[in-house]
Amino acid sequence: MSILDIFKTNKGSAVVARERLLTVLVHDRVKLTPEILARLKEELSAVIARYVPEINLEDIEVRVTQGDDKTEQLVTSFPIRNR
Amino acid sequence: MAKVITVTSGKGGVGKTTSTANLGTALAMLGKKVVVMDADIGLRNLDVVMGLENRIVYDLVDVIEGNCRLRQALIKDKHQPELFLLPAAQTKDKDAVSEEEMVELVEQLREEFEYVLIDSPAGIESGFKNAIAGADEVIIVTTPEVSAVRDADRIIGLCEAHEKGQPRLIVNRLRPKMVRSGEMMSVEDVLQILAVDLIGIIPEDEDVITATNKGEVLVGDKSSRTGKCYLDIARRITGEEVPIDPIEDNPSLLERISGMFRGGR
Repeated sequence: MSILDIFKTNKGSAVVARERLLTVLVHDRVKLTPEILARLKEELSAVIARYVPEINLEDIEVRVTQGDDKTEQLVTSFPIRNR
Repeated sequence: MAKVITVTSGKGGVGKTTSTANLGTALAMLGKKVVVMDADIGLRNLDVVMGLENRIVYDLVDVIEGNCRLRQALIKDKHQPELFLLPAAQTKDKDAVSEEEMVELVEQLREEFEYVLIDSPAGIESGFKNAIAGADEVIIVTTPEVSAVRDADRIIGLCEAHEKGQPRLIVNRLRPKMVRSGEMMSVEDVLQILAVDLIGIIPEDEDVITATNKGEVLVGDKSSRTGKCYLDIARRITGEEVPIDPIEDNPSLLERISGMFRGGR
């Protein structure tokens, strides 16, 4: 990167295309519809609540991301209720 | 042993028919006995691209329904004596044939030809499924554009689901100037996203339009770089190791491509 790159505010559109494609494909490939996602969260809540009642069921998050090694990952997080 | 290859894409208009016509011609130029089949029932185009539209008497639906023998439906190419066309029906639609019927038809073709190239329709429904039903391998055509790559990704998944193995990719309509100025994705970008092996790169070329207008294929023109790119793909199909003309000037792409050919295929 030269000093001139700092003044470049325009990303080439190819870079934008690539980023958008990577995001859209992560979702296309895993095929998680909103209905499936909602059922998944419900069932996960039921299981977790049996072992960790302190979990705040409304705050469970389930998302699809792309890991560093380019594989898709299903990531869930379970926030624990503050005492 | 005959090899049956389906040329597909998902997205329409990226160059399946042009590629099938050129690759069929190229394989015949290399001395192989080839049939190209138009599986786009209802919207046939392979005949027109090859300039054979006036010679159609019977089509593949006629063969499947038993209205004629296979020999009667096959049309000899204008230039290559070992190249034949099996045209699609224009008045029916994709539901006129089943996957089993397509497989049976392909089995008949295997007995007569060394290579069977099937020009698939766009889409992912029955036309596409019929086109890959009898295939040993699949070649996917894409352009370096968002919609085409997204659709190609879906097709790759479907090929694996239908147990057709790993497809190989043609990146078509590349514009090196736009790649250099950052306004078109590069071949390397596309390969990183789709993660399949590349079988060739074809540049954007106005001569393709001229050739189609006349019902000719570019691969017959020795002065055409595009024609040479197609001929090289045909060589790779036969198992020859031919270095890919990268069209762009990109050292890391060359590195990645030469890695693909060290093992041979």
